[in-house]
Amino acid sequence: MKASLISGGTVVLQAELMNFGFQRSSKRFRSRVTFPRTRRRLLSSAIGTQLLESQTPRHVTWLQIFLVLNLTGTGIVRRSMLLPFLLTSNFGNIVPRTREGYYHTTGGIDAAVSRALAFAPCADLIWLETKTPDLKQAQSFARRIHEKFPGKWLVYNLSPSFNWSAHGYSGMYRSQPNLPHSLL
Amino acid sequence: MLLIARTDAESARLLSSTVDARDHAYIRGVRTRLPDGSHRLALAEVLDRAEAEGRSSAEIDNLEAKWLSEVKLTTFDEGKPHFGRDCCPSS
Repeated sequence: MKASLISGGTVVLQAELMNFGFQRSSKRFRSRVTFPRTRRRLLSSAIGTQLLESQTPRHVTWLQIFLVLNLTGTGIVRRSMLLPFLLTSNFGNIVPRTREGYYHTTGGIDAAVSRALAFAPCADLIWLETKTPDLKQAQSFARRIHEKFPGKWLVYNLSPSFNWSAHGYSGMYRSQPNLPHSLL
Repeated sequence: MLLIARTDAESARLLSSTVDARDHAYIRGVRTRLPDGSHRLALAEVLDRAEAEGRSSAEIDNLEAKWLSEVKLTTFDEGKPHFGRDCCPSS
C-alpha cells in the first residue's frame, strides 16, 4: 500500500491535498477505496490513462477534471478552487516522513502561539515551553496571547531544566527576579 | 482544579499527525517530482528497501542523511511558487 501510495500519480496529489484543508470534506466521501483500486479505476478509462501518464497538464479537459473530482466524491466546489494546484503541484508532506511515520514541522514561536491561542478558551493557564530563558521572547509571546485573551494566566518554565547561568542570569533563585511579574 | 495547556511546539521538529488543520501552515514537505518528471521515492521506502537488502544500520543512517540533504524541506506556503510541475528544478 505504501509503495503504491508513493509511486502514484494524480491521486497522490489528491491525497496530499487532503492534508491541506480537505479534512472537513472527507466526511462527504461517497466511497472509500484503497489507492491501488482508485488507480485501476482511473486507468480503466482512456481519459484516466492520459491523465495519469501525461507529463504536462495541456491535455486536461474539463471532462477529465470532472472525472477526477467525481472519483473522489469530495466537496466539488472547494476542490475546484485548488484545481490549478491539483493538476500541477509537486509538493508533498507524506514523502519525507520519518520511518516512524512522523511529519516534519517547522516548530517555532508562531506554531507555539497558534497552539496557545487554540487552547486558551478551554484552559485556565497557558504554558508555552521554550528552549531557553529569553525574556524578550517571553514578553513577545505573552503579548501576542494577551492581545487575544487579555489577562490570561500564563506559565513560564522557571525550573532547573533551563541553564539560567549560561544565559546571563545569576543568582536567579536567591534574588527573586522580576521575570515572572514582567510577564503578567 | 486548574487546567493547564502546555505546548512544546516551539522546539518541535516532528509531528505525529496532519489531522489538525491548524498545524498545516507549519508542516514541511518536499517536491515530489524529480527533474526528469518521475516521482521521488519516499524516505521511509528508501530505508525499507535498504533494510530488506540487508544493509547495516550505519549504511541506513547514511542513506537517511543523504536523502534529507538532497531535498529542501519547506512549508507549503514557503515553497508555493516552486511547486508547479513546469517549475520542476532542472539543476
